[in-house]
Amino acid sequence: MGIWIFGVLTSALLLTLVAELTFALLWRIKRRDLPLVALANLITNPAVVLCHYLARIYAPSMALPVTILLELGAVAAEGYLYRSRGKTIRRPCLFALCANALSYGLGLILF
Amino acid sequence: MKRRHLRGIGLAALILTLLAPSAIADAITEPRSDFYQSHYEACTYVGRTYVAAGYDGKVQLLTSPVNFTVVAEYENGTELWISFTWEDGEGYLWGAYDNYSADKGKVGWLPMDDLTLKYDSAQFAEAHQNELLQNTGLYPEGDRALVYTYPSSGEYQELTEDRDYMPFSEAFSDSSLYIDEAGRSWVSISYYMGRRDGWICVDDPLNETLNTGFVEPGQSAAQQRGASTIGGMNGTAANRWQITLIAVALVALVLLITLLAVKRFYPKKK
Repeated sequence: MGIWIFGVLTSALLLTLVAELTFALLWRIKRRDLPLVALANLITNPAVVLCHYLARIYAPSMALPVTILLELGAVAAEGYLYRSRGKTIRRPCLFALCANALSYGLGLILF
Repeated sequence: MKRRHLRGIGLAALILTLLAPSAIADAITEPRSDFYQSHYEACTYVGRTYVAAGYDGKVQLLTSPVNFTVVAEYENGTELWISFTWEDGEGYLWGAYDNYSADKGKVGWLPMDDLTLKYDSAQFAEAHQNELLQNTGLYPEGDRALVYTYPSSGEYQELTEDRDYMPFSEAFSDSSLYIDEAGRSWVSISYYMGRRDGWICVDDPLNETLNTGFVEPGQSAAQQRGASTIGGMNGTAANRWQITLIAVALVALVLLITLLAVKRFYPKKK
């Protein structure tokens, strides 16, 4: 793993924040909970991206199942945070699932 | 009933006998590398000879693409048979090298950017595809011939006809024909008694001096770039492990601080 990983982590986080915060506005989440969405992504995104690249480099044959598990874990963690701590987030688990599907799809297109 | 069984066994034996040469021809030699064993699903078979062409005059054979312990060094110009390649997460292509005979115990991986493909029969066929004809019955006279790597390459191996295996008259029935600038006819051979992918000059099958078509190996990617490949990989293996550890520590720190922020600013709903 080289220095490039820091660039990848930063760009993946920025892309995810822009995508999921925009999606949160469309989901009609109030301003009070928007930072929570950002914080939830700050918790999950760097960890998921780093583990994904570690798997790709050191265990390429396991990269796909590892990535699927990581994404499901991220959805579960974000869904839990939104449900337990969000005040204005309707159907938090569905929101987490849709937001992550959107950002993952964008990532696939752009990276 | 018994007779039918015997006939079946005889037929099966005949089929196996006929298939045997092609099975040998298709055998793939796998490198004795632990890294290959754990990554074989992601490796691509190559099976071609490359020439060492490092930026600084040599190439280094490393234990694996993730362990940069130097196993051996080869001067530029050394021919290395690459069996499989593997692409790492940074987009670098690595070639597995294992020399069973001349270099006992020397097994490892080389950056493909430090190698250049040795001009061979496949490249010749690609470059001259419009000039290749279907062989319509030409084959070398006599029971010996020199198999050149490609027409007039100067590099050849001797081939002796084995009539029990396959007479020359049959071995070239489905081959390509190439006529060089001097008007000599060359027929290709894909496999014969361990010899594969070569060309025989049917007009002069024992001439050892046909070398006017030799093609010099091109520059490697590292030479074109003007920079060492390993040097461009953000340092040594130890360096790479340090970067990995720093990245893991940084991500863990961000995660911890963010969790504390969430706890502080978004307490659990009652």
